[in-house]
Amino acid sequence: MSSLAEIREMSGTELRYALMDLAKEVPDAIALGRGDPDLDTPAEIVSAVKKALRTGRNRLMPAAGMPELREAIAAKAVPDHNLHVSSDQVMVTAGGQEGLFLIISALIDPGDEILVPDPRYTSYDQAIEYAGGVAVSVPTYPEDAFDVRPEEVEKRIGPKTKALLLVTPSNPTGGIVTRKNAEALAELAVKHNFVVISDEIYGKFVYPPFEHVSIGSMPGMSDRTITLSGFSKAYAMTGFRVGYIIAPEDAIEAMTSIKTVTTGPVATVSQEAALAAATGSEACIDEFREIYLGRRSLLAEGLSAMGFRYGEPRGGFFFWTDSSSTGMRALELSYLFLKEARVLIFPGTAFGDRWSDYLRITMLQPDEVLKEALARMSPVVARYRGSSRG
Amino acid sequence: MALAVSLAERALRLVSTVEGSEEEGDFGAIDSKVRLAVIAALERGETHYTDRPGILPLRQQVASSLERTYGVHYDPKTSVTITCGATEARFVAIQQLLADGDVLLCLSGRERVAAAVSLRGATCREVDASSYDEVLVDDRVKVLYLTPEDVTPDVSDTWLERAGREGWWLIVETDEVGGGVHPGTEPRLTDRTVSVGGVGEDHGLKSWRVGYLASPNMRAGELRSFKQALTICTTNLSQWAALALMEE
Repeated sequence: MSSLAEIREMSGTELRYALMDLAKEVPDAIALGRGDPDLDTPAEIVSAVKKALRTGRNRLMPAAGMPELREAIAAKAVPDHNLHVSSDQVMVTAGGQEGLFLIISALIDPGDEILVPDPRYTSYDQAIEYAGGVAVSVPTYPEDAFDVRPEEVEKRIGPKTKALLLVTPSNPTGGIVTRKNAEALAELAVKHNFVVISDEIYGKFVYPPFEHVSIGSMPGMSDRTITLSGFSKAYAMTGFRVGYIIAPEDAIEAMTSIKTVTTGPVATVSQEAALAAATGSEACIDEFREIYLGRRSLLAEGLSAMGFRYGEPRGGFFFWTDSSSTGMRALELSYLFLKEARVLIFPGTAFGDRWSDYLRITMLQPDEVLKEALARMSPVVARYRGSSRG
Repeated sequence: MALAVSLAERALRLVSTVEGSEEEGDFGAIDSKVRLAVIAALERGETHYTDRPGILPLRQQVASSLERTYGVHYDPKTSVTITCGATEARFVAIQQLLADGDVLLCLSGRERVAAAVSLRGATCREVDASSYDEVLVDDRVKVLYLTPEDVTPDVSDTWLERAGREGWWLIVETDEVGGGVHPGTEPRLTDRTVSVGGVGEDHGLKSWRVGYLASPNMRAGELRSFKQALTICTTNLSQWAALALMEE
């Protein structure tokens, strides 16, 4: 197993993948790292794929996506995002990740600034760097459950500001953008003429009493919002790689041109699966939400017992946990969890440099596995509490 | 409706130059072995992410195929990455091997790479392989793009000799048919050659979007990282479909 010294120099995406590689060397490791739902893809979607295979449709689709799927996403945009759009305002991507890359590539010129929440999923930074843009971090705070404060955004708006990225619910914090703040941010976008990229990939999993809010539905925002979402997280179908973008037609045309160059059309089998998801029952999502709620309670209790502090996740899959009470840096603690407890957890520095006292812990394991993970972690915390501050 | 702010210059440039998607259309019935393999994969629950470089048995098949067809050796564990079709393989290689202002020379297939080169802010120059003495080459040239069929003895003595001397990278478009001479078999070029291609595109798998890039170890990590940043991994079921076809 690699040493702590080897991973200590890493951050962001590199760190996440290094830890995942390390975990492969650990027998019986419990993965609470990657954001891949453990739940089975709903049977109706699997059946639809089998049916498509039997009927033998083997067509290469247009780069913007299968027409029926674009129609279905446009129809679903009403309940999911409160957006009324035509299929010409929709394109299908190879997962949300490619969607993000296309958006940034189509929008950001070298030197343009994009306001991004901190902490964040660092793949955004890779796309911004590729485009020659400048990521301007907007801090979010535990005391308001990592909502995005409009005043923190306004302070950072400048002549080169082209866009604001919102991720709601947030990866890694589980925070959401509340309606009040979304309205204020929309006003700022109109006043200062920038675009909002609204990543809503976890939007199906906002937990009561909170609500999912799509900023694109607010007054003045239809021509200045690019909404990104997908099927992977909502339907536990990450392996199909289907995301989508909703945007004004000229932006869709530009992103489609780029898509012909990046990956071409999304695999037809994946689009068939997404079509089944988009047109089928949402009962599976209600069921998934209940399961995640149960896990949230279970993890909350276990983490509290270990003396960790956290903001209860308002949405998504993650606990963003303050581990400073242990006296150890989160990276060191993650390493010990993997080495001695056989539990993979990502340290906060995988999501931003200043988060060295935080851990991102997923809810994406069955109850009994989560209990086992907590049981393995607890003695490690007890053993090392206060031992170092590397 | 138009976006309230201007689009990026690179995007506007592409809209006016990209001629459209790859050939749309029907590629016939899905091979029964492929179909059964995909159904079996579905029943095993292969609906989640795979490893970002792709499933190992498929990487091993790709490495074996390249060795068998062209005599080039790549380590499937460290040097082969499965991509969303040959399109993504070309795109990743071009974005990582070129920088703003660089030049890519192509001996054939300009239409397959020109837009990706443009998106990178670089320039694609098509050259006539037989006119080596007449083509001006400057130090902005960083990559030579070609197929094994392009590699005649004359090309080897001129373009490939120059590539080795100047330290250019080579992107080589490979296929399952073979033919020609793969530049990666020449010791002076082995460590600077990236192979890109699609899997099963001539066997009805084009709509499944499976390709690969195979590169020397020294660049494999960054190529994989860029692919991960772009799409994380390639469609799980597509990889099993490709594996079934390659094992046939």
